[in-house]
Amino acid sequence: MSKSYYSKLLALCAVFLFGTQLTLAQYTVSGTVTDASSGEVLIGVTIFNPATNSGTSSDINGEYTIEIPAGEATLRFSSVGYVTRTIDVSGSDGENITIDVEMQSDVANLEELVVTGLASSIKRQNLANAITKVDAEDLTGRTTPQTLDGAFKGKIPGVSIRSQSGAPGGGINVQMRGVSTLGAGSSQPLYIIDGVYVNNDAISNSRYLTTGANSTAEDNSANRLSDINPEDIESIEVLKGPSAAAIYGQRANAGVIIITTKKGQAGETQINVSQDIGFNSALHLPGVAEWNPEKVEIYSTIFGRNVANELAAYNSAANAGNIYDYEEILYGNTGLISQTNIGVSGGNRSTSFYLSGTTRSEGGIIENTGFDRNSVRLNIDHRINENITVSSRTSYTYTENERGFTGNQNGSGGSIGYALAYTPTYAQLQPDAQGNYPNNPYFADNMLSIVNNAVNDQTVQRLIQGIQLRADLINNESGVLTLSVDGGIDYLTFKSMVWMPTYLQNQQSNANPGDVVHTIEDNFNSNIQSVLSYATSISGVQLNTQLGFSRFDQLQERNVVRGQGLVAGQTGIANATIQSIISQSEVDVFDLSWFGQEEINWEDKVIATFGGRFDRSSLNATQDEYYFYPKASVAVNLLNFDFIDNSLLNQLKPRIAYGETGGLPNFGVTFRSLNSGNIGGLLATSVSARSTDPDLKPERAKELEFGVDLALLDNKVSLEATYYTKNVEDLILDEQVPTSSGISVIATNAANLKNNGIELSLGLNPVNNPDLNWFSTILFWTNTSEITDLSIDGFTTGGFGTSLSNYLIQEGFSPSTIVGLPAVSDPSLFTVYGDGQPDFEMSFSNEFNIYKNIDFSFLWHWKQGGDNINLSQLLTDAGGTSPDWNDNIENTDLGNGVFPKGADRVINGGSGAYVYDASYVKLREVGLYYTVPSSTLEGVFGSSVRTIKVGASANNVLLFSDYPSYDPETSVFGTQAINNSVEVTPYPTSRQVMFHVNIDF
Amino acid sequence: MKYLNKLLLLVLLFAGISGCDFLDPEPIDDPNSPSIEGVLENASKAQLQNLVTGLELRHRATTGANNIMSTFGREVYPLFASDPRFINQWVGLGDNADAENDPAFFGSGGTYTTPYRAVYQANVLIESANNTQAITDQERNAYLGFAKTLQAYSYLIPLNTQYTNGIRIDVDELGNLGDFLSYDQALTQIRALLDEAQTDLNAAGSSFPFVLTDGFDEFSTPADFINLNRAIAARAAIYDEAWGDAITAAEAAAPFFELAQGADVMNKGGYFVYGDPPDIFNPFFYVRNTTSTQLPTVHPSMITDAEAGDLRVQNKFFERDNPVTLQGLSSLYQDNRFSGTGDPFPFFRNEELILIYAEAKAQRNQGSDLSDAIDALNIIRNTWGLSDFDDPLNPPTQAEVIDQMLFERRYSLWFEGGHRWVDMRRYDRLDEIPTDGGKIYNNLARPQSEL
Repeated sequence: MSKSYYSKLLALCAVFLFGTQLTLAQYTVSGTVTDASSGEVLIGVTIFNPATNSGTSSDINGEYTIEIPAGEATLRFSSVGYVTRTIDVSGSDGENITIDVEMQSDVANLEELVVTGLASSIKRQNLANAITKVDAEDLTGRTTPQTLDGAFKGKIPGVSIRSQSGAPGGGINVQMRGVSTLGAGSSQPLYIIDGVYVNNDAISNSRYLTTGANSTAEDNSANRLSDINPEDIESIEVLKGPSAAAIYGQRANAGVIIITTKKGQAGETQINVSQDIGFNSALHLPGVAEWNPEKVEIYSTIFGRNVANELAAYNSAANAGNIYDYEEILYGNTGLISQTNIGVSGGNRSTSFYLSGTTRSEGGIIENTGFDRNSVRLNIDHRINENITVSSRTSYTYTENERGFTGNQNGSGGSIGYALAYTPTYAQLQPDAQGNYPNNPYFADNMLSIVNNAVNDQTVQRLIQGIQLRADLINNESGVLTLSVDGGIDYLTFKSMVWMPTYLQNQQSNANPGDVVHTIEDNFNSNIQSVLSYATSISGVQLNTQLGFSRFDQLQERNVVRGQGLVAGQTGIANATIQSIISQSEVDVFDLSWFGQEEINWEDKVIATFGGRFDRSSLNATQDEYYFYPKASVAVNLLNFDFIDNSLLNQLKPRIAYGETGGLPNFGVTFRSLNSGNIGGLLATSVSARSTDPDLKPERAKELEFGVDLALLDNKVSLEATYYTKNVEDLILDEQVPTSSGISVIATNAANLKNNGIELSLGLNPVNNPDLNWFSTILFWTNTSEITDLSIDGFTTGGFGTSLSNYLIQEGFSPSTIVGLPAVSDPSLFTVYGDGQPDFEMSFSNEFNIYKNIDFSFLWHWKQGGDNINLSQLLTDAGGTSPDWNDNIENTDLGNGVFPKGADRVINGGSGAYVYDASYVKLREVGLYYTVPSSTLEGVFGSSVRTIKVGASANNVLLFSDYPSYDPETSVFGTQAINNSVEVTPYPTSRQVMFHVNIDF
Repeated sequence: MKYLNKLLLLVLLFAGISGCDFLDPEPIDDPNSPSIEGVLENASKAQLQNLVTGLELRHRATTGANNIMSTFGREVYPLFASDPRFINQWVGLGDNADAENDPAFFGSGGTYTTPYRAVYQANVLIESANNTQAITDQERNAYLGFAKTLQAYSYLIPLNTQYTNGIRIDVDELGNLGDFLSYDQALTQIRALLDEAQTDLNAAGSSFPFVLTDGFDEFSTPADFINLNRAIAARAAIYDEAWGDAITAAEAAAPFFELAQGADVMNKGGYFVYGDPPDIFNPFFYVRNTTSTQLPTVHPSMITDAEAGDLRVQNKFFERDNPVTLQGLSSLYQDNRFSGTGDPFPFFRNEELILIYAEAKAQRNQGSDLSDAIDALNIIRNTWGLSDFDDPLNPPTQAEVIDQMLFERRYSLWFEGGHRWVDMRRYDRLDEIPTDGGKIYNNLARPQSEL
């Protein structure tokens, strides 16, 4: 573009900005806006006159005033959560007209605005996709969630959400509409907060180095959405599949979650202070098997402990009364939770602000674990003039997380859960008077010493800054041309330390006792997007055309250093006998995109959208190639045609949408590298076991979704029913090539996958009167996946190998199929024992507003089916501690191979013995609040206090499940596309009970 | 008009970032590692040196077969508490344990994938040396002779573990891998490769154009390296039952091959070296009396079958204060060979060469062969504090000498790559290995990736 082009454009803008200021004859309309059912005044209702493209909003007293050119006009009254009303007025010059307006609450959310383009939104009643929107009330209104994604559970149909462990600070896997990748691309949705592409990596602290576990996947890492303060969130929108998310192109295969934070409203400055206090306690502890002389003898004989020694140890412990329930000692603690939030918001007609500060401190159920988050946010919106607005969204977060020592290890110690599995109740692990812990003769760790002495801490500092600019470049009767520029940065620094002091049992067996690992990871994401959109209307058909460009950049630097053989009490690498650099690596990525979209709305009767996006990325094998992702959709509001009698129905909208998105290869798989190493003081470069496929393409998901939205009985009943079929093509798999080539894997496009599913959402408002208002939402969703084409040989993946069961990737099977030995000649290769994906999920939420002052609500969540590989039980069976281990002990006959139940399972159970149905019913959230009546408040505080709300709530309240462990929700490998239902001695899930006080000034 | 200025500023800002690099950036190269393509054409000497050291690194990784093969031969118990499959699968206590038919047999990568990576590294070194002008022809021969010799060493590991399944030898090109050759065919090719390497080394001048680690001190010139080449050729020859060739090769390995007493003489040879990070630790060093349940321990039969006074038993086996016990297997002894994490691990010692010589002589059994074999075995026995095994008045039969040879190999080469299992299979005596209630496998199934 030449400079002269810009000056012309500027001149053009100037003409439209300042050329239309004329004085006309006008009259004034004013009045008060109130809620139709409660009669309370409504603040911030937008009153808009489309004829002049001007508007206002109701003030703190619900009052409004608007100037209208003499003659007839139609005013539009709209507000989030209320059905829009249009009211005709007429008047002559200088007249004052009073119109008071009652607004009906929008039970079916038909008016809600939903994002469909990169710079446009559409009313839900015109939407062609099943996009779920969850607002603050549903996210954080019932109870204070630990993390934002944790608050999604049971609230979004079509989305399977699994906590990986109960460790404070979270760790959550979000899977939308089934399996989108087999592990090469991102399995997690793209999160966009106020226009900023944010990092949701599960950043590893390389703890696996000290535990001997297999890889960083077993580090029990929290995904970084945990840095986001849920209290700041206004709403989230969930674009579950390609048909809705196509406009996000190559990063949208796993869906997109768009998060909007709160902003200030014009009017008097409001101050909100809330204080929450509560505690964590274990949700479910399955217990441990008892020991008695008979069992000691049987166990010791089978598993090769010295019978005489063990009997002596047992008798001595039993006689002294020193029998301990170590599960209770380790996991039976109560963690204190405290959260304080102060929010200040307000503004005037041109500038509004939202300022908040939140500090949350949470103790875990294991001593010396916890999660603290401190965050501040400042959101500013400024209207430069009638045509230009700018917004800034700034947040800074500091989190501290003590993750504790649970999960897998490989004989080198460092997992209290693993050690617990092998430790009988008669083990003596208590410290002596000097505080020295004895060795645990049954495993490499004294768990009590680990809990009290080992350190696994991490901190994150994070700054997210978003900037948005909206400028109406042309605004006249023929249309509006708007430039939207959105961009921002997400800068995150992660620091962690894992420290095993020299005196720990697991260190004393090392040549160099004392082990410390320090990790520092810097992540810098930046993105910018510019969109020109032109809205116009041609003979009753509204057209909205958008064209835009975006760029995304990611830079990551990671440094991991380790010291072994430490000076006592020291954690610095300089104090180590052996100092090693484990990793010093960079990730550098850019994405470029061009996109366009056309929305056509014929009188809200037929709404059609089509568009597409050209994407390139440095992650692709061909970095300069653009890939095209199209989309198209149609929704028909049948009731807006005259031929249907709509006395009963409020909405009847069939809809259909199609879209394509991409999934990018992981960083590094397109490079053919030499690895550096060191031997005998010489520097080596050795050929990597990974080679590359020069034709590698991004994964591509194609989704067709259709459904119907229905509302009836004054919107008191609403139903959203959706069916989708999502085909993911060109799935990237690591092809296992014959290893005699010296090469083990090549990332290649090797499979196609199909997901079919149904999502139902039924909203009810069975009772609606001033004394009782009852809302009920029932969600149901199901998904089935199948690999429809596989160009490489079928294989198993994940878990700990097929002998302990893992996952099958084979044509004709779901990629979450769980198989184990023995091998069979069928296409399944091995014996099928289960499937990781659930048959269906359902949730049932109810809210009751009683006498206007009492709010009671709860959320049930039912997951049916879906199997876990429960290797915690394998370990407790081998250690004699499974709660049912002693069953059948009376019939034990070792000579004839009759064992107690636990021993029998581990000896004779075979591969499938530890595959369990992980169905559950959970009471996820309960909340009960009392709002002090305003009359009482006024009597006590005058007008200084606006509202006081007190309440109690609980999270993870009840669990009903036959699954034999702490919680059916678990994943030792963390966030994974497939390999996400394996359990190895996780941090047990906790139940959180909270008490709340919330004051508005 | 002040807003116009602001808008102008914003538009200019937008124009500024819309520069060319913003809209069409340069491709991103691997920021962390050099590329293979960078060495395949016109590699510099420095790059070749890195590849040579890289081959040493891959060569060293072949110790990955030691634990599993030594378990198969019941030289050790794999008492690794981290995973019950070390015992269930390797010792074969599990009902479903079947190494011969399970293509994904637990923990078998070290017997196949790892040595083939060394083969691949050698192929890249060969290709790089062939495609560069930075070296003379004589120097090129040094690279080739070095690469092919270590390549042959690595081929023997999958050959020993796959055994009758056969293996691929031609693995230059991923898209065009050679057929699986039978055990005998593969062995013939490996021996031919060693001969080819010998020819290359003969034409490689008097010194290497590259530096090797201390582990190759015994073989630091082309002439000395031929000793190692011949030693490996002797090993391959006894596998091939080519007894005459084995004797010739062993003799050609002199002066490395030395028929003399003394621990120093026995321990001469090639070693894998270890060190502190960024190097790695000797993976077979364990703190004595460690409370860890994550270590290989001496198979109890090694103790019960030992002759009194055998210094090899004293030197190699450490009697612990308490036994290590796991899944019903227990041993009071752990590896005593290493005193620290930096100690080297042998991959070929003169002691083995003496045993190869003794075996070949005993097998060929022409002229003075049998007494040469007896003398060789007695050299070893005397070195380790044992008297001659033969009664000169009642000379042992060939079969007795062979029995004795196998016994000496068992103690002399304990846990040095799993010789016992291979030896007993060569003599069709796998049934003499204690099963411990599990299974003694004949070979490993062909890996999943090759099916």
